[in-house]
Amino acid sequence: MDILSKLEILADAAKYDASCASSGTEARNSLKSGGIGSTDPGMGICHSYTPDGRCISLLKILLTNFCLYECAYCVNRTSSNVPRARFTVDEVATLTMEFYKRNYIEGLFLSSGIFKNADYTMEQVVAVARKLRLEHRFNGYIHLKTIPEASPELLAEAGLYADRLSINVELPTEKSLNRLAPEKNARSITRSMARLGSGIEEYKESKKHARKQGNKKLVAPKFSPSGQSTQMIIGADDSNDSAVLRKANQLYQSFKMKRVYYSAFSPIPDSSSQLPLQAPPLVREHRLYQADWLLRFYGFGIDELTETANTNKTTGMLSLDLDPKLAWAINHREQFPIDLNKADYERVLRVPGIGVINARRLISQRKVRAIRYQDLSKLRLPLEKIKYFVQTIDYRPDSVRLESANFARLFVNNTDQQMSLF
Amino acid sequence: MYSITANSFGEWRNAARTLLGAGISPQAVHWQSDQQAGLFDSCNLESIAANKQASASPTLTVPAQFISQAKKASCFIDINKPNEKWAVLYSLLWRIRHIDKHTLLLKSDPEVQALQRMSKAVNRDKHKMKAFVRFKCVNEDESQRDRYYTAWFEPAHAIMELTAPFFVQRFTSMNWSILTPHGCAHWNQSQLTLSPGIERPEIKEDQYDEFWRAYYCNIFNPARLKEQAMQSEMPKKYWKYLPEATCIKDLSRSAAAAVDNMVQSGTTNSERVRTSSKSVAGFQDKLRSRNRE
Ligand code: SF4
Repeated sequence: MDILSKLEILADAAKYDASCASSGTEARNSLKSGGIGSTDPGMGICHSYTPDGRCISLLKILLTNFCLYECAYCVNRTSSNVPRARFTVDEVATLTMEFYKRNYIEGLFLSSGIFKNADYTMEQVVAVARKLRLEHRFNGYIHLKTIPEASPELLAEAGLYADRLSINVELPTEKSLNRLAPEKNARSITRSMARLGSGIEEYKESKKHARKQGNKKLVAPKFSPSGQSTQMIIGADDSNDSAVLRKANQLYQSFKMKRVYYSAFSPIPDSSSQLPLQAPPLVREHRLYQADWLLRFYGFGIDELTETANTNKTTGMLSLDLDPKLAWAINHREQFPIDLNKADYERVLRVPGIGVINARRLISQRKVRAIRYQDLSKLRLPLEKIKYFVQTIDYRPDSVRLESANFARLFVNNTDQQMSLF
Repeated sequence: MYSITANSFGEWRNAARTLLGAGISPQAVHWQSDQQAGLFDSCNLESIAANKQASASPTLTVPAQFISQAKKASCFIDINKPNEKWAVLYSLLWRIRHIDKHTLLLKSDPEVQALQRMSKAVNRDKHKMKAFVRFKCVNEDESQRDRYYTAWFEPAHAIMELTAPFFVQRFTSMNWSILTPHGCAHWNQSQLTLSPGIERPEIKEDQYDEFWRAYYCNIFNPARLKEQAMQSEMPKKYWKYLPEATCIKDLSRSAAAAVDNMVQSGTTNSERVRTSSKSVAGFQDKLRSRNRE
């Protein structure tokens, strides 16, 4: 089979993995180190966008889509009737380099179906990264999907070359995992995540220690400087949003995950009869990302989020019509309006429609002079939304509105409804 | 009225230092660039300095943030008001020195916002340039070391010089030229050279463009079509640089059909392969029983 056909098959097979991020690694620069490639500790670059609005930052492919496992939600499972292909290590390394040199990509995201056994597969995946780093002197971004059952030695070597390692939890509960992915094992997934987590911590700590001592030799061998991430499939089992968020929170807490990706299970060719017929609405995935954001950057506690999901007709599902921050604010309207001239940063952040950047702007501005209502429109804040929740020196919202029983109705916009496949 | 000519951040800074030293207020300065020379006679900066007996200490400190934003704003191109940026910059500098050194914190002030807007536009333009420049190899038959890559790009602002370091640090062991209407950059694995802008040259397809298109078409999931989201990040004006853009129309058009196809083709029973292949079934059984332990 020629490389072009392999590329078609193995890109197609990789597209259901949501993550494509190339952010948050250490800064590298080939002018200093020689070779090709650079990375930025901040955001990676999106070199293109597909018509689904997703960023293309990495060459995201599978080494092979032959797989011995039978995960019901996956196109590559044994019983699926899709064309199969397998790249050699050299082919992936060359494609990555040539794509990179044309400025199509930031780097490589490599995963693989399981062939022969876990160690054999992982060894091939690691071989690609090794070749890129050592032979091609590639300094761009590498993300490797890790096989939980692979040996600790292989994990350590993967961590040496990769910017990020990830293991997918796949499903919110062990029960669902057993049912839909019978060859996968929740305990070995957890064990490997913990191993990655401590490897990442150790490396970080050793860097800190070395900096303090002023001795570069104290830095431990590199280990996945951009941390680990994972993916959870939404809507393939009956777990509600509360359960999903609790699981995510636990992953953030126990393994210091950089990101949990939520992937609404997508219709796939030749899908398994074990799956629900209907894909979940994409907006559900969107709401989960918003809630996740609140958890990580807005100082929301997990209980506040699950409470928001549970008060929505007691379904445990986040509202599809309202974003979770707005839904929370509506449930807690007794805490509003918030005085933008007095409230601390955390309180300002609670206002629906004020994000991290604008909250900081408001705080820095009010040091110079008091905030007036007009300033809000100059900052292009969404007045229609925030006007109910804030107070400035010359403005107070209409308390009757805020206290009215059908307050929430004000925000449900009929044209904004999620379209679903018909 | 003083007519002052500036074509770059460096020229503006020189002029601004002198004007500030001589106590000339922003209202008394008319800024122009070489393109419109002749409209007014440009004043001689040295004579200003001499006439006004500029204050003895020319050392000026301003917030670092102002310098970095001003450098970016200097690249800003507005064909209708090409010199407004110089006026805004000088006025802000004046205010920082004479009125309030925290002027930049007034986020809703019109001039602060103008500076923000310009530096943001330039930032965004830089970002898009880093993303959408596409190198084409012009001599694929040569050995890796001698290959040469070129790219043509039309940024909205004059950002070639500002963006060149990024490309140098990334494509270090490659020979390349990036060509734009506002300036070109050339790198031969050891030295960066800048040259004046040019008109659009003839650029040929690269052999890997076909591979990239294949990747692009196949990584797209038709079940998640969201064209507007794509276009807001990757506006049509950039499509001419992107080999993959030729596929967008077809992909979007056939997306619905592709999903129908998936849904209609029905489902498979996972037992199918297990019953036909003993070795697969054996392998799976082993793993499954281990999980149950
Ligand atoms: S192990 Fe499961 S999820 Fe991974 S490729 Fe195989 S079938 Fe798909």
